[in-house]
Amino acid sequence: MSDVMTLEREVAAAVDDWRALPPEDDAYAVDGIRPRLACAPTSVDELADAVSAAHRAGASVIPRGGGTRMALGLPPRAADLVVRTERVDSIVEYEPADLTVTVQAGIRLAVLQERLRTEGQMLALDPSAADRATIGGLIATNASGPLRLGYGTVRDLVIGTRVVNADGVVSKAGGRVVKNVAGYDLNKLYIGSLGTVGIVVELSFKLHPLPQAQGMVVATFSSVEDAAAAIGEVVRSPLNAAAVELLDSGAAAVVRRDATLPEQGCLLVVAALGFEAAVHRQVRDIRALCRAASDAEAVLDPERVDALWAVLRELPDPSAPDTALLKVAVPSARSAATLSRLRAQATEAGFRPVLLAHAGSGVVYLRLDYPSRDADAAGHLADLVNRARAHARDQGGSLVVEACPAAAKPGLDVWGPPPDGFSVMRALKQQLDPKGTLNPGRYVGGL
Amino acid sequence: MIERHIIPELRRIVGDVGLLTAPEQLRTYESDGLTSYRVVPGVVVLPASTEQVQGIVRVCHRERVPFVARGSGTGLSGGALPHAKGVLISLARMNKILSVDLPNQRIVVEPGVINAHVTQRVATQNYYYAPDPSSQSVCSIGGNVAENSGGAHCLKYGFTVNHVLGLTVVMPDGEIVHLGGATLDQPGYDLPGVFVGSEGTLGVATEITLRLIRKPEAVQMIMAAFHSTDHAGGAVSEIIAAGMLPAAIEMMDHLSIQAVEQATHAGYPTSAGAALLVELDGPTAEVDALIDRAEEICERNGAWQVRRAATADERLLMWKGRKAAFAAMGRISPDYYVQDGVIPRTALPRVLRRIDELAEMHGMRVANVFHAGDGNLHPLVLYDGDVPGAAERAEEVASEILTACVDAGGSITGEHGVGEDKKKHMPKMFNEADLDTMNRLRCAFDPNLLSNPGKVFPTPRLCGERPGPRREHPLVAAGVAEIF
Repeated sequence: MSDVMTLEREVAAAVDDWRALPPEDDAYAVDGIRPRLACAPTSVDELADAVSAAHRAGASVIPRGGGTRMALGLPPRAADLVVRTERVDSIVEYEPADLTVTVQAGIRLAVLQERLRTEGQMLALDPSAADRATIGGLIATNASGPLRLGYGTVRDLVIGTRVVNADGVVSKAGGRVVKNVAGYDLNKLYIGSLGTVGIVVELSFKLHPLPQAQGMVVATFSSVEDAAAAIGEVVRSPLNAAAVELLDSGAAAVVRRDATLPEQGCLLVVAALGFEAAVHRQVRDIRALCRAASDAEAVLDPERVDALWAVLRELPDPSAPDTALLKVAVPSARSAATLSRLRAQATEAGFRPVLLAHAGSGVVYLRLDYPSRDADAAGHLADLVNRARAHARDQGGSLVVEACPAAAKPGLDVWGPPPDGFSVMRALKQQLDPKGTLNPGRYVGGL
Repeated sequence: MIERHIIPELRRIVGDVGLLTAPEQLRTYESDGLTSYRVVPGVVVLPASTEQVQGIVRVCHRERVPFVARGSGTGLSGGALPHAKGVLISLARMNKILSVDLPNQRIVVEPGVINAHVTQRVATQNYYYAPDPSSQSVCSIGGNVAENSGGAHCLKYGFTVNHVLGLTVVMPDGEIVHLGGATLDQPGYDLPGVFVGSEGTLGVATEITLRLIRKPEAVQMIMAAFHSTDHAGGAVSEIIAAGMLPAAIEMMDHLSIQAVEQATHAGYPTSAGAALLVELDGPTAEVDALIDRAEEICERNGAWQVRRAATADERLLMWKGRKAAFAAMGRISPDYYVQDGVIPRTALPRVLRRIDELAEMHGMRVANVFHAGDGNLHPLVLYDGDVPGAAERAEEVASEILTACVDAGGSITGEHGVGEDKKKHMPKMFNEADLDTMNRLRCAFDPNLLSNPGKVFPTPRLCGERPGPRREHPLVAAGVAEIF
């Protein structure tokens, strides 16, 4: 905890737009902990000066983009200065013929996609809340969506970064070309690091052409085993599905308000993207693969495809109020069985779950309505997290609580036990942020 | 010379069969694929297990002896150049495939496994391992991990780092850690992501979990002959602009075609100013439609001959020419010096003209072979090592080519690594703050700087040393520490 007068003086000298936050102001609270100051730099230099000021004053910094994923992580040990990135938001360089773009971290994903679309291109990243989330925040939280099967995740798309280090020094890694092995790949370190080893302020990405056509097959199954068989067929086939999404009956009800799935039933959505003729053929073949095991399967009307994409993307939205969101990773062939098991565990614990699996990747989301008024809710959630985590870890996987109300956090471990290699992680934090300036305590193992 | 007293201890760990000390044996390891740098190692050990690697590294750590890990020794940046006072750890005997899990598309291998053997193991089940450096028939997965190797197909499929899910690593203090694993999105820093491509400076990988990929339903390839690299470059741009993502786009200039055709008889038109190879893969419906479009685009951009590989054998022959390009230079020049610069695709014509200028200015010949889709150039500066000063002039030309690449917004290396060879060029891309941040990462893994010291960084720094004008570290001055 630094001397507030010193911090105010330092910040005032560094940033034009700053303010002291009234003690009752919850707008920037992280897990109920209220920062004392907030600033909104308008340039990389100004942002670096703000961090440098906090570092000198011995204060802690909470980086903040669009604020859609602030529920991720442990409660901070201290929260002095919020550094907002949203006004450092320009497109620095865009050369469509190179299929690369360099942007500042504060740009919103949807804004960037709109610009890229005018050139028939896209950043192949489709997390929830793209209209509010900043690129920097999505990188810090390693957010992804259904397209990860076809295009990979942030680590497959970022080619360069500029960061403000914990002491306010600006450094860069990688570059603006798609192929580059000069120096350590620090880009990878920053992805998913929750801003604990540097604040990413500029990013270069490789881009993809917008697919000319898209098609979706939707199939219902009366049992998860049947769905698993169909998923196996699709994944083993050379059909290059761009997304393979499995929804439980809870999630299917979100997709189709008129859904009449049995309790144990599930819904499979397989998407193909590409050139018109090819997509037509792929969709036909995917449908045939599903047919063997499904109760009913259909090619979705083209005009409904975009709407279904949107639902799939937004189902695991960590910014929804009174919601807990758990992300479970298992070997991909175990996706359907894990979805089924998690559903049973959540139901037993008294929750009404909604489950969605990126079934080609082994990533299962479990979303729960969190009954804040129920005094036992935190305990029930903690029990469920422990049991679900045990199931994931038995298969070599992991569970992260991506969001839950602050009241539930003291009783559960959002990241799980420190992973193998934690001694290296601690040494990295010590090397890159020895004073614990950046998001202290929020990351894995309390780093 | 190495401290002699550690040799009996190393012998106890790896046995007689795993220890080389005779000068003529040691000399075999004096260089990797870049033979212009040679250092005879203090001792060579060939461990057979993770535990043996751990034993060796523990001895090195205790005695503060530097060590260098080596795979097949095909690297082109001197990354496996030994240390005269150090231990060279050859992973060649750790060459087992440990497990295959097709439903989850995973394979676990030891570091000495040859790249091509991974694909061979799963080919009959219609899977393969995507990264395919030209040396794939001999290079090792451990070496690929160290260098983050690419290959012709990384335009579409990415590099080694995109295919490594987990690693067992013997840390520079001898601790064994498991980084990443078989499942995705593991909590914590992406340590496999930073380890891959760290050129042996963060520890020794002893088990590697790789991603396998379903073989595409169809593959089609064309070879197009153009009057000039400018014309071929125009075709590349138009193919990309049409929204295609070919599996590979490779270009060779006139001089390269001469060499390759003499060496391999792959059927490249020797009168062409440039040849383009375009390979498409994916679902049959897509590939069939797009290969026609790629042909049209080549013709529209001035291709005077376009040939489509009718069979898989014909396709492999086309590839053979390209993959043998470096070796084929022997047909037209006694020696060559290869560079690995990268440029944005749009800068291609400009940079190729600059390379021509540089060649002419210095009276040298430069052959160009490159991954045109991702802008990775491999200019081969041809020279005769028997001519006094020729090697130095070749290096001078190569260095200026790298400057041109960086000036165009590119990189000094796309897939060969920095190693010993290009460390002096690092300041062209990275300033003191950038290098200091990288050094901190290194210090988190290897505070005593024992793992492949002296590579990658232009100026050696101890951990805890801050950037700025170089001063002697107090520990060095006091004789307590030594910079390797």
